[in-house]
Amino acid sequence: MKKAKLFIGLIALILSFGFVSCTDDTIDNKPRQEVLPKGFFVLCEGLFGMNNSSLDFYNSETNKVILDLFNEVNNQGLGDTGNDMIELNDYIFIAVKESACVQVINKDNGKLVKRIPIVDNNGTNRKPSRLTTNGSMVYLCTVDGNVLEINPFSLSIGRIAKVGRNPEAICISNNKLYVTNSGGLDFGTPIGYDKTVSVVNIATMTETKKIEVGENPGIIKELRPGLVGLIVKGDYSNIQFKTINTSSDELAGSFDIPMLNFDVMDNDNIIYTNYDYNSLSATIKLFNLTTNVVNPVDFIKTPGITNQIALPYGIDISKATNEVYICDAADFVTSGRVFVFDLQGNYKDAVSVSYVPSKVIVRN
Amino acid sequence: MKRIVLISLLSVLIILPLLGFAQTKDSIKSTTLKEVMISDTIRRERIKKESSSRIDNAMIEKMETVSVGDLAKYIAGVNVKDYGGIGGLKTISVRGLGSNHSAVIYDGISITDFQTGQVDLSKFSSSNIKEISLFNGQSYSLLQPARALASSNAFFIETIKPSFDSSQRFKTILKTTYGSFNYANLGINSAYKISSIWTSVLDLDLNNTSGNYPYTLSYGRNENDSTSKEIRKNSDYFGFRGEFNMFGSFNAKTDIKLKAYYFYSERGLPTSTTLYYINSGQRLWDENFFLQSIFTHKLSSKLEYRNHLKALYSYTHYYDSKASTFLGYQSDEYIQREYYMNNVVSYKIFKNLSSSLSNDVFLNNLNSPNLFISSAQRVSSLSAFSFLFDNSKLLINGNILHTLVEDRSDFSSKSLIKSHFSPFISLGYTFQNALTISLFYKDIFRMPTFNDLYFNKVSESKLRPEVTKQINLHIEYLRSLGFYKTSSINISLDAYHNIVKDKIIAVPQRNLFIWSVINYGQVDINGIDLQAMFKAYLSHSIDLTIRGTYAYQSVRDASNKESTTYNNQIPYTPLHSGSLFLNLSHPFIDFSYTLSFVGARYSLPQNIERNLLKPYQDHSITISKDFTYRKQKINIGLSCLNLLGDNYEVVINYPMPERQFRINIKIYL
Repeated sequence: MKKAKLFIGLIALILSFGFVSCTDDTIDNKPRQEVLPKGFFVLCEGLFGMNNSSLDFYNSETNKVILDLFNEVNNQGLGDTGNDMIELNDYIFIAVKESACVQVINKDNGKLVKRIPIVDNNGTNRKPSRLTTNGSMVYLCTVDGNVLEINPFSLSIGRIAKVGRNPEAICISNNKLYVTNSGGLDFGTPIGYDKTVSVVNIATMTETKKIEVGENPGIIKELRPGLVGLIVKGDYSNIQFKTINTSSDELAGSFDIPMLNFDVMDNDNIIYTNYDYNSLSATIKLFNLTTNVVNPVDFIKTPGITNQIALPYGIDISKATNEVYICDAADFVTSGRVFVFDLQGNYKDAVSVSYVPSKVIVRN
Repeated sequence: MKRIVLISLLSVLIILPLLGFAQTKDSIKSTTLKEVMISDTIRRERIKKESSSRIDNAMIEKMETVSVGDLAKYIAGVNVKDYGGIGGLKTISVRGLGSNHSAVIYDGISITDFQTGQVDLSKFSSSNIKEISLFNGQSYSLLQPARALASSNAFFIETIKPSFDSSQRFKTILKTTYGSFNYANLGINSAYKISSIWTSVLDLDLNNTSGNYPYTLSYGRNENDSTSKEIRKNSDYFGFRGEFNMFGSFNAKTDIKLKAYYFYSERGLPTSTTLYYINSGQRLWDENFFLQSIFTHKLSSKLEYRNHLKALYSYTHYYDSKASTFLGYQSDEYIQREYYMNNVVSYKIFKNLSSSLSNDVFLNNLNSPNLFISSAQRVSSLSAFSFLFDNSKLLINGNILHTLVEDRSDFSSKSLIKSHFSPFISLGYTFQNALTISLFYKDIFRMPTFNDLYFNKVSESKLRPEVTKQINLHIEYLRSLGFYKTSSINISLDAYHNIVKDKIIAVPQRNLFIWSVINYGQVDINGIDLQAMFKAYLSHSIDLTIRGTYAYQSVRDASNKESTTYNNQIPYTPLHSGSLFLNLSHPFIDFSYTLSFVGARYSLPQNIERNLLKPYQDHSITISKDFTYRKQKINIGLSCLNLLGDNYEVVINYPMPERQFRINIKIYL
């Protein structure tokens, strides 16, 4: 008898541990708004292999953020590594690199319109990288070395142009596509990084030229008609900013300015971010394209803000709101933040978002 | 090709003894196994004075497991990081310290991987394992290599040694298992008594599975989000292990143990379950070969000498057929070698006081044509002076360990030299052979691995070793319950406080593809391990064994008070976890039940709901029965693993198999 009690006691003791730490299954019953208010979308890359890329939404009326709007609205996650997004007509196109797709959502409510698979003829992920548009078509560069044309009405893939190794970014100037070929996946091998920018004629959708720009080119944007700017990363110890004249398709300028990301302020200025790994500090400055001089005064005028930015991973300027959005990726494994400034660099707001924010699109 | 050769070799070896089985049935004397088991039980009835935990052969035999990684889940305080399936990487982390802090010791000598610093326990099949034991801190044994003292804890794997009756010279066990997802295992363990001095044992083991198990993929993080039924792809595994051991016992004073070990595996790496696209082309080949010897000689009643030797060659090949590189694929090869020697002497100073001096010298190198550096080399020398006072009541054990490490690589022209002294002290008292209370303190560190130092250009060799400090209180109670011959109860409780300093972590720099390795911050750990074992001989010839474990681990980030992760539980460490083993044994049939329970934990440093991994319970049962055919014993077992079909993940986006079945046949020749 005594023995039996002992067993039961022991079993009960051990089994009871199984019930100590069950999770609270409190479902987050946020009211789902049919039409989104004014504010901005934030694309957060998330971490590789974690399926935690997310599209957050900042409501500028309430100053609150809806985390992972995509999941809330569509009952499914955005996917793994949302790399870029762009708006055209009523849609937002989101390139999701590891999930091999472009998610097309309605800008008014965040609802998924179509998921376009980005795979080759063998069904292998092309790895969608970055997007651009000329107002009639959407162009996507893919890590497997191509540019795909996406029809924004049929939401299907049309013509494909072959470019260099592991394209990283794309922009349009002078009715031509400019694609930075990073060759990043050959890093550490005998062939090494790619050094070129591919020029693709949109009318024929063929590569017409490869401009040699230096090892490991990255972000590329049109600065003003006839001029594009890009970051050439090299081995990250000698980062340069370069410009290409898109009439002659020749290198126009080369500047030893280490930067992580940039956006176009006006016809004469770009605003760029950098992070110095020696001093462990962020920089946000303006670079004048006419005088070729970096404005020595920090862009951020409000004191005590710059040192709150851990890693200025993304920067976007909205002409609609006249605001500058700086995406702070923090340490990549904890929640990022978006800092909002006016064009003069006065601090307006900072909001906590999901992991690794990189891009902002305003909804006005 | 290698696969075919290995399969044919094993087939021939299995058919041969079976022919013998058919023809010479009368000439082999059947053994009375019951006797062996009883003597085994009696041997076990001793109180452990160290903070330790073990799973013995009696339990291993009754659990349906494939690798040592599966067994480790039943030890309190051990978190097994399991990437799912038979081919999934399985590493252990003990008491929140991280997997690089555990020494894994296979038949007396450490298994090492200087590239990653982690030992994949899925490479060690459980089929020839006698017992596994974990020593928190270290074992009190004096005649052990200094390397076994040089980690925060030591995980010992011991294989089965043959034992013969006086009339016996040859013993063979044939094993085969078949199960869900085309899992097949074939094994032979053949022991031969060469002479009165030498015995040998050959153990061959082959595992194969397609690994295409079903799982449920969740598309969102909310309960009503979409899910779909999927099949794991590119998760196949083929593994072969061959081991030859020789034991020489020259007289009561001198003995030698020799081992040749070969392992080959080929597996698909299924990758994480990426939403909307899974199509992995990644494969991994592993090959390990080592020779080791342990020589012991008693010079006098006071002086004893032991020598450990090992030479290791290991080859790893990773291939991705779907990488967007210039070549259209990615192919990385790594070759590691180790040459290892230890000499240890112990001397009995007085009746109850002994001391020992142990020195290890070893050379490790890594070669890879694909790495930034094409080769890295490390020479290490570990020296330990230990003493042990034990008058069967009071026990004092301590040592001072000196580490000297020199690294050379073609990445850096300068060599990196580290020299450090580390202490260990333990104090215990045993009351009436039934209750032990002991306390230990250990201060030890781990060196940065070759990956930490040389994985990419950004990281410099400025890394400092990662330090751990442990304080542990161990209370153990053992009582033989008078009513039947084998009944006993054994309860142990450990309470500990650990600190990890200068933690070596990889952090992304500039973007997610350029990582660098830094020393960062501190982890504060407080925990409790509870183990209970109850054995009873019930009426109607029923033997009952119940073993339960529970672990509480509070493993907190104590790096930076300003940080959002300050005081948050470190990823992949559950606050609560536990296990249960229950066995009812009757001459007619044998029934076992195992449960492994792991509470909620986080996949990332921030303790927010989004990063929460839900708790899981994995229940398994095994029913087995002995038959006699032509005087030979045959055992047939039927198992159901993950009985409730729980769909869970140990590592985020690496689903574990749902319910599976296995049939297991053992023939004793």
